[in-house]
Amino acid sequence: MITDFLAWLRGWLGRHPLKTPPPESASYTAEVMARVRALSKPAPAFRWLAQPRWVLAVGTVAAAWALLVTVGRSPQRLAESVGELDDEAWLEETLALLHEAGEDVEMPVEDDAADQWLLDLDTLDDEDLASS
Amino acid sequence: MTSDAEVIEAVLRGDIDRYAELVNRYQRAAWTVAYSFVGNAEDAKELSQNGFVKAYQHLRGFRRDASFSTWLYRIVVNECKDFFKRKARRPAAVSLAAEPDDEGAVAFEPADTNGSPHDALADRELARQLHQAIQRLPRRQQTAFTLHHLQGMPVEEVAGVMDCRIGTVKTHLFRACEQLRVRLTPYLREGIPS
Repeated sequence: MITDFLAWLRGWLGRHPLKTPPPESASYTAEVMARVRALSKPAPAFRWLAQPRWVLAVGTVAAAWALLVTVGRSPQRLAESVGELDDEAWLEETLALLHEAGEDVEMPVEDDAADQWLLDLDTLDDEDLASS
Repeated sequence: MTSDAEVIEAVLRGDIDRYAELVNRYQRAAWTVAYSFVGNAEDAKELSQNGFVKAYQHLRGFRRDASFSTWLYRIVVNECKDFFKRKARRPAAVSLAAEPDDEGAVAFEPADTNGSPHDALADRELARQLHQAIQRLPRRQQTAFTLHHLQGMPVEEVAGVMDCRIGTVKTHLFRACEQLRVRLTPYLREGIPS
């Protein structure tokens, strides 16, 4: 039964062949080759920036960085950054600040008193920061 | 004529323009394979062209001992499958945009007969029903039937395109014919030959 149907189908398909493509061979090939050549060219630099996902990611990172920098400029952060200076620069900066505030500190002459003098200066600095 | 393998070697060495030889050689067959699936000239052109571009992109991975045409047809068939998947995901109103050619008719040429207009109409209706019945077959059966019966590919090559055993192709072909026989019975004036 199925073999008879198959024989009929083959006969029918013989009389009704599949439609053939329209005669546009040259343009067909030209279109394919244009796409192939485009693939062969190196990708332009920073092409990835054109991707919306990447632009969003870069923008987010930049915004986060700007936020960190802005928020990081608090008095506490400034005090910490002063602490990062080397001793001599810190001393000079602190003395200058104290001079501006009218709270000059006498530099002791003896070396043994240096520690106490530095402790006083630290206390004064902390009080100054706390009151600001 | 230069063999496919020689052209591929030249393309891989950097002579990209020679890929046009393969496009010229197989465009008609690739277009027809795609057309037998989608039944629309524009879609068939785009899908078969996509097949050529993908084949170029993966040319380095092509096994030289295999047949380029079989490999290309496999890529085109996969493009058609993806096309149907995308179409199935679209809303119905949008999918109507890509109907088969000729008033939703057929992928087949009309018969060259001297019959009456009534005969021609019946013939056209049968062609349309056959086309629709083929499109409703399960995908693997449709692929096997289309490549073997419509494209005239030997079963061995169909197995190569579908990446399965010859016995599996024969099973798909048998089941496809059985389903077509059942679906076409109401449209045959003289009944299906028994």
